Amino acid sequence: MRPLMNIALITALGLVTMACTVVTDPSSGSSGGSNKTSFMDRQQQISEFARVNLDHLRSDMAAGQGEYLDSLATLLDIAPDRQPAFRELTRERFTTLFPSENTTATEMLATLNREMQTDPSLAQRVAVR
Amino acid sequence: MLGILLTPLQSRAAGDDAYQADLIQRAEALNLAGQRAWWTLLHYRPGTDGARVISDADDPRFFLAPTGKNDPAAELAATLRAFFNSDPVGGDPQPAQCAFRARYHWLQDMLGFDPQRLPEQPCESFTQWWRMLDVASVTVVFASAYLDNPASLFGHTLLRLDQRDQTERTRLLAHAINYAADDSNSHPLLYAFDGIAGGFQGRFEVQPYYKLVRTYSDLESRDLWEYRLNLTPAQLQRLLEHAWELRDIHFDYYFFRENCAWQLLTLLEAADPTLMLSDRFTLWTLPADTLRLLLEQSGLVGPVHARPARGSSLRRRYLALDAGERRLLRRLRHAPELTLDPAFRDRPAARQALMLELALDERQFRRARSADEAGAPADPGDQWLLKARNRLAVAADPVPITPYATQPETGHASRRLGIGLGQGNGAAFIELNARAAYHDLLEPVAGYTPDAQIEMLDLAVRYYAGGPLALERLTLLDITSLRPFDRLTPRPAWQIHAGWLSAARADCYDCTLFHLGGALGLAAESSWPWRMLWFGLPGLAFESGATPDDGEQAGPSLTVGVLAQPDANWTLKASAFWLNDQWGDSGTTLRAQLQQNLALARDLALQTTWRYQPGWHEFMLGLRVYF
Repeated sequence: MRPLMNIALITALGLVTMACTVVTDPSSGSSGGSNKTSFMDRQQQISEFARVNLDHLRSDMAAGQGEYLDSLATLLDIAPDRQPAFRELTRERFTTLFPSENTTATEMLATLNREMQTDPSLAQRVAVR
Repeated sequence: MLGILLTPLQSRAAGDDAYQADLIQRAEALNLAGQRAWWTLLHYRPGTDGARVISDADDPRFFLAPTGKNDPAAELAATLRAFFNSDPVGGDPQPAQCAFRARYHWLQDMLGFDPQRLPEQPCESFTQWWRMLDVASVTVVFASAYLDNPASLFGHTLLRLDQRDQTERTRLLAHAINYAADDSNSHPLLYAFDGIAGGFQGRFEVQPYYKLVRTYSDLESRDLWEYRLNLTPAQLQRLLEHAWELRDIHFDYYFFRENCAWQLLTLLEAADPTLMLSDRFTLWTLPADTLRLLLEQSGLVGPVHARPARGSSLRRRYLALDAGERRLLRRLRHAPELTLDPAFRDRPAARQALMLELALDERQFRRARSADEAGAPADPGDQWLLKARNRLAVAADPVPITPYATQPETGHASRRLGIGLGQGNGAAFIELNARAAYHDLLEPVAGYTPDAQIEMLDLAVRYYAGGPLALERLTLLDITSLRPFDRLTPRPAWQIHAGWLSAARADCYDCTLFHLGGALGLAAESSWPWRMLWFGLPGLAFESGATPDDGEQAGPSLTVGVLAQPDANWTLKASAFWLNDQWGDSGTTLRAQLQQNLALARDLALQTTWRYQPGWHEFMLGLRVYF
């Protein structure tokens, strides 16, 4: 019984001492990817943002509002006064942007780019690939 | 073009040797190597024996002199020499002027380099990095405790780099500096040992903030508190240049002290060497304590902003629904076709939108938590709900969402000392107690995660009048999570405890036993007449007496109790513990206690305890101070 007790003690002590390590989320790309993410150009930033936050973007676009949608608009360099029109566009064309549950971030961004071309009021400076 | 080609050649010119020697001599005359600014950039501190100097950085690439880890002057001379050539050095190899930007600029300020004799080299990758970050200010972000992961019991801090022209709506696009241990190579059995002894390597990582929000807020459901810091542009520049120097540089990671919270302080000290922060912590560093320290610095901390966790947002919105809507919602998340049902469609559009968004969030939350490879694809049910939401061209009924974990610095300090007077079986005693960390269920919840208890190293000793000096308790660790059950996101309540307890009885005032136990059950809250939290925790426990003839006991256990909170500063608790000695030497054990805690001030409380166990009953009145 004594050795068992010691093992339990050490385990408990170990638990005690842990402060603030990080659990890496496998979906968010490479762990410790400081150097990779450090040098993303705007295109890569847009793709990466859409890939990691696709769930949030899907919900925000369906509702035509939200923090993730606002952030995407900013990444796309859409002027603040044009952003309401952008949000409205994503809401109106939601079923085109996300035709099925399997729509990927890349597909959505390509559709978004096409849809924005058809809307002259959304003269965005960063083209989506 | 010609100039760039000539640079390496120039560095070997004879005139430069003279200038090198001149600079080194002037640096010595000014005692630059003894200045705090230099020490903060190199992470030097006095060694344990007083005389020796040691740097916390454990990566040889961080130093240019072979003896750099222990010799600030040699390191400074080597750094000046290295600025004259373009040999790649550092964690991300490049010329010394570029690899060590903060050192270069500080030495330039101190010595005034002659650009003719020490030409400045172009640092393209640094410039690119600098432009991408485009930092206007920095914010310390506190992630509240996450009880399901032992690594996150005391919370976490990181530093967010806010960009120019960003608003709270687009903060996700900021980057953040996160100090984290790389524990991927550690064997699980060595994990704890490595954590204490510095077996892990810690690194500063720069990541997009949205990835950290995803980990902490979305997956782990931890409320985030964001504290804007007021740094001058010069301090900000130095902070970033130093963060650049630290890329890929590893430090030995000690969970106790040299953890994320402590390392952030060293970063801030490098930005502003007049700040004296990190040496305030000698044995351990808790993230909330570092926040308190930052708030003590006059004018350093600006506006505070909350980012409620996904779990908090779900719960707040769910509780804002009426009973009929809650029923609808619980069906809706499993059967999206319910959107066609009149029971749903007859609700106002804004309420429908609220329920649909809530159902979608809950499905995503559940999926993300269960997925091995997170970011699991959406399913047809989601698509159905999304389309239904999309058809409602209205905003969802707004629900105010505040975090459950309140601002960490508003709580009592994490260390506690107490004194008590009481009677056990009629014999008077005086008790002294001390606790290293952190929070128990009786203490006011302000600043802490509600309904959670985390205690480590809690010691109490008693002196009985004319009798023995007795160990009352030594808690090594107690974690209790009594998250109240809700039907939307049901989670169990649980508890683990390890430590020594008093086993006093009529013939043995100073008997103790060792207790090790774990339990898993349920907690539920009610609101009459005050907030009450009821809990029942079946589990397993092992107990071992202090003397051989007391023997050992093990078996199924049950803890039941109730917590009542008549006021934010006043909490009552009644609990009973029962152990059925299935596999041991003696019969069942029953212990019961009744406690109340009245906070007189943030760091002062009055506590009373009544306790019963076979052959023993006691009463105690105590005073506790937090520091």
